[in-house]
Amino acid sequence: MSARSILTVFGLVALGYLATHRGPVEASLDEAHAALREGRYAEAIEGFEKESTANPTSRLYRGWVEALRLTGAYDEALSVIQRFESREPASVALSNVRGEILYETGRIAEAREAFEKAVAGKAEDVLTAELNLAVLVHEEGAVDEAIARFDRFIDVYNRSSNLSAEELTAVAMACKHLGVTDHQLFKDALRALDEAKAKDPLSLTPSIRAGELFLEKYNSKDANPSFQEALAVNPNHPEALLGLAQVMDFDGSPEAKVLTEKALSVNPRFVAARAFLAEQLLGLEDYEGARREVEAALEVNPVSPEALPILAAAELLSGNDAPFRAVEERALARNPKDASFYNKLSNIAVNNRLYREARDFAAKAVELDSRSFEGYGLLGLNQLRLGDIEGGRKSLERSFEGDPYNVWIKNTLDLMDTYPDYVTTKTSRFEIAIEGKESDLLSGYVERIAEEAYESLAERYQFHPETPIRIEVYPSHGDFSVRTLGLPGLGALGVCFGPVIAVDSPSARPKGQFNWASTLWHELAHTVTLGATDHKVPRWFSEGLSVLEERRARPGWGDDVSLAFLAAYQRGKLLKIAELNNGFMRPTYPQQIGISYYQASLVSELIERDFGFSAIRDMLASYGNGLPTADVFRNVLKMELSEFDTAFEGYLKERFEAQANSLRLPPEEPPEGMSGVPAPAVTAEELRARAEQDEFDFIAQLETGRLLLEAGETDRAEKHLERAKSLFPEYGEAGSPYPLLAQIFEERGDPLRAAKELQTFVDLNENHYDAHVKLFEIYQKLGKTREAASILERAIAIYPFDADAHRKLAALYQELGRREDVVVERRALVALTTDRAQGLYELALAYYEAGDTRNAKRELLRALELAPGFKDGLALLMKLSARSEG
Amino acid sequence: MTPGGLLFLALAFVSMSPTVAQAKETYVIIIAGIGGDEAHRERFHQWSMAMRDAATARHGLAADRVFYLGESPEMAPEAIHAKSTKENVASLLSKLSTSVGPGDQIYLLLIGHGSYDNEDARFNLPGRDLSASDFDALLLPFQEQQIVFVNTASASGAFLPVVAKPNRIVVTATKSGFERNEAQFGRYFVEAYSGDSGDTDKNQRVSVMEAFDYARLRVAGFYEEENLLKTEHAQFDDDGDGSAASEASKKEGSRAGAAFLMGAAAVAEGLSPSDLAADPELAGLVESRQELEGRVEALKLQKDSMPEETYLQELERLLLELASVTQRIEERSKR
Repeated sequence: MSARSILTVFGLVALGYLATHRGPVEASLDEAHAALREGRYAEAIEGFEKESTANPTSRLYRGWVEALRLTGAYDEALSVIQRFESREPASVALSNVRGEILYETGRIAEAREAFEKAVAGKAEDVLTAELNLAVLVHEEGAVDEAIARFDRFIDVYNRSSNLSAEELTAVAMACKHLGVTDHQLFKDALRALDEAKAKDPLSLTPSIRAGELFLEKYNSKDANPSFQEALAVNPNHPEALLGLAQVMDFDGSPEAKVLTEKALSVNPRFVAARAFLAEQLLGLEDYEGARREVEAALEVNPVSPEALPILAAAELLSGNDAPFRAVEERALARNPKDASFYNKLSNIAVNNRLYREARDFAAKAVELDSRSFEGYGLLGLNQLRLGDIEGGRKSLERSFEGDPYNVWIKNTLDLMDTYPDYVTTKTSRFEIAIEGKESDLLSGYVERIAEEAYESLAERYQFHPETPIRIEVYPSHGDFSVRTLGLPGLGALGVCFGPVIAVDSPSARPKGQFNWASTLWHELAHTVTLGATDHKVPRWFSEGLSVLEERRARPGWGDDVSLAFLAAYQRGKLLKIAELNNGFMRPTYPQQIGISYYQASLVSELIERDFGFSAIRDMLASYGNGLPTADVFRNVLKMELSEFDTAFEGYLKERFEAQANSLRLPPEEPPEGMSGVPAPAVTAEELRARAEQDEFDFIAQLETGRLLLEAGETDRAEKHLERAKSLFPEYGEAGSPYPLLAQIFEERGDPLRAAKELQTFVDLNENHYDAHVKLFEIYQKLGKTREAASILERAIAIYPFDADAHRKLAALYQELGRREDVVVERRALVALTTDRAQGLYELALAYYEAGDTRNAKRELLRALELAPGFKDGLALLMKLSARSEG
Repeated sequence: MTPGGLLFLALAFVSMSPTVAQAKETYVIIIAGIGGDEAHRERFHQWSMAMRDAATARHGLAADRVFYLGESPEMAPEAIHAKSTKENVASLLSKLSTSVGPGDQIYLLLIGHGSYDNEDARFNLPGRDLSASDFDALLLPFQEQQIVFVNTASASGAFLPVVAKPNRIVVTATKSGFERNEAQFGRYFVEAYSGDSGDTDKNQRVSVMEAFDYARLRVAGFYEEENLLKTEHAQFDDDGDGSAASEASKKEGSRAGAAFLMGAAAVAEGLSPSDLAADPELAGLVESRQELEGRVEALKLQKDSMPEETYLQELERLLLELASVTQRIEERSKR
């Protein structure tokens, strides 16, 4: 429940437009109101003040007070009200307004008095005052009484056909609160807001309240235009700015911070905005910054229900248990059953990957308030993240029952309805859930990679994550997104919650877009680093280590240096260690996330190189003890962050300065379209001239080589491509010189050299399926069976759905005597073939040849069940039977 | 078990038995329609030839039982019987109707383009096209024969309700006349007969149901592999009621499952009735094998009502007997 609901409706009257035929004074007053409506607050305040002597009406004073309120001049607003009331001591016209300002500054008892005065005196805004009183009662935990009060608004609505916009908004807010008793009332709330808008199209409050309601239900699609509608009229409305900031934050846009800061520039004492800014800083793991902001908010309102949970979270995340308890006590002083406090903590815990804590906070919320459907939703989502599928479902269903408008909960339940289609296989360490049609094919591979990763990582990190670890493989990227954040459209390939990992199936994306095996390895590395630090490892470090582990696991896996990274390096856009989290969570340009992954991995690489891997383990242990990054570096590496930044710059210079210089970049933005296609403004002739004039111009050498090859001028092409390769040998993106050189050598009848080029390329590029297949073909022609098998394995890690690849790999394994691997490939073929009986027979044969007669017979019976007349199968059955009798 | 259940089992036994209800003679008529361009003409010809060769070389049909009418006879004069005009198709079917006997089987395979104008579905030929109702009329004289009518063209789905009759098994590449894009179904349907993978129950015969399933699955795989939206959905009807199915069920599929592309009176292993008459012991073994195959099918029907271990043990036992009998048949037939 938003504390702001108590404030909102006042603005309607202040911003209302009156009839025409005004004299000069009224015209001047109308101008002041127009200025207020359009967000020209200084002008409005000046206008109201100027006219206050000549026209000391309640309308003028309301406008004046509203302008002061919106700009955070709360004391001045109260003085203005006082001035009015000293002129009109019997008037209750501004009593409710006064109560709202007192409420906003945490003076609750005085606020209550003011509301009661408005009600007793039957003020014009009496309905709003009644709403505000009901909200106070609700906040103090007398929920049943509050519900009864809100309920009366339904009667008001039903009995009257001529409610004002302000009154309709009050009814809407009452309906919103009543939504916990009957979710249909959320719709009624929206309807009342629509009616308020129609009644007074100039008022912005109904749009803003509608936006807030949509956002509560995780519906940013409808929230966005609601706030935009208000800002189109008044671009300086702090509540609309904050609302839109929250929408941007929800959508992962960096605009969120800009908008929040704008809201605070209009009203520096806007408690909700400052609390929101603090919450964002918590997400960036800047706990000190968060504490600063939230304490500034609490100076304005010491009992703010928006700010107190943020302060509590800052203490919790800093490992300050006693201060956390103190804030908790303070927050619950007004209402010991305040579920919203724990719901907020739960949300913040999720943003900091503390899923156990998030679950526990949400459990506390529902324990205090069995009608906290938000709490049930948070509980359910976090139970799911921790692998408690059945518990999660029950909680989510409870949440949905009470509030079917929460998009996230609905999407997640819809996803869970597909779970019966998933087959779960169990190993000693893993529970692997794969959609039925893909399970036969993928389960064996996923098991193998997962087991290998666990063994390798547990040994290196000297930490064994609790098992079983649950791995979910989604054939639809939309489903994976919903599992991760309740909505489709997430850009990631995999996500780790600790004991649960969710990944895209290789079928979820076009072939060659990602490598499912390295993605799984990456996520398992997160399970280790999260577990080893009790989920306190900072985002940048966990990501850096995961990428490093990918590179360590297989040649070609893990991010490598890209043109975008070099450009960012050369332009000084790489982040310092202290800010590296921002690169992941608040990117300021599109490529920054990818660049940050690679940068973080280089940081980890440098630490390992200079301090040994034990330093990494010690750093993780320190993070696990709750130390901030500066202390971790100081204690373990004996360095200040600034010293490390300097050392890192030296490392980058050592590794990449020459390559970066060879890019010949202009000093502005990173180059676009650098995936092998010349920038549009540069012609082939220009490129050729550049290449001839400057042998150190990587892009000119590469692109000229490509164009010459396309024109059939192979020898000249080779010269330029070799030059490009020598300038930037680590360049493994799709436009790399290696495959082009391979093409040249193959055409020349030199498959060995072609293979060498392609091998280097695939050792840099884990996703290029066609290059892997091409290399396999060359190795096969050269009779290099072992190499051919290795490359085909890697190709399957990109795209496992090609039956022919499995058939060939099975044959290679046969040749190499790797009988157990033949079984894995034959099993994959059963899943892919249309001739199931044949597939099962060949699988049975593979088991038989591997000496596993039990499984051989099981699969053979499955084959013969489909095809009893299958002669080869019958002959094998007789052999198996003879063997077991023998 | 209820009498109904027993009857069902008996029918299942009967329908699975390899030689019961097998046609006396099988005729195959392949009609390649107009290609429209060189690439399509060549493609349709290749598929037609593959089917022709499969029918004779793999499935034991005599050459004079296989007819290929193509757009350009000059492409393979020794194989193409005549130009695939409306008149030639009608003439061939008319002649055939006077020479076939009761119980014979006529396979009609249409390879080419189709069209649909919201009322009438057509198969495109050089010259005038043949519509669904034209084909229905041309096939009317074949009342005592089993017709397998396979239209692999685009928009062929509209043929099904028109051509369906109790003595006809109808297969179309699309589910309606509105699926007008070029269909891949024909390629894979022919492949089921010309390759090894269509015989999914490994009884050395390919039934219409097996060919349909093979083609259906391969078509699905094609669209997934190419990352395309599927624009064709094959269907069939084998009980003559004109309602289409895309997979075998209790209602549809048993007749299609028992319709094989086989030469006259051929039995698996290439044994003819005269071979069996000359060797009573061999005949007895073949009969035992049929009986065992029937018992396996009957056991499969009871699978869900038995403990798994019991089922598997019994299945193994029957299969071992079957293996032994099969081995003896092979040994004996080699003598």
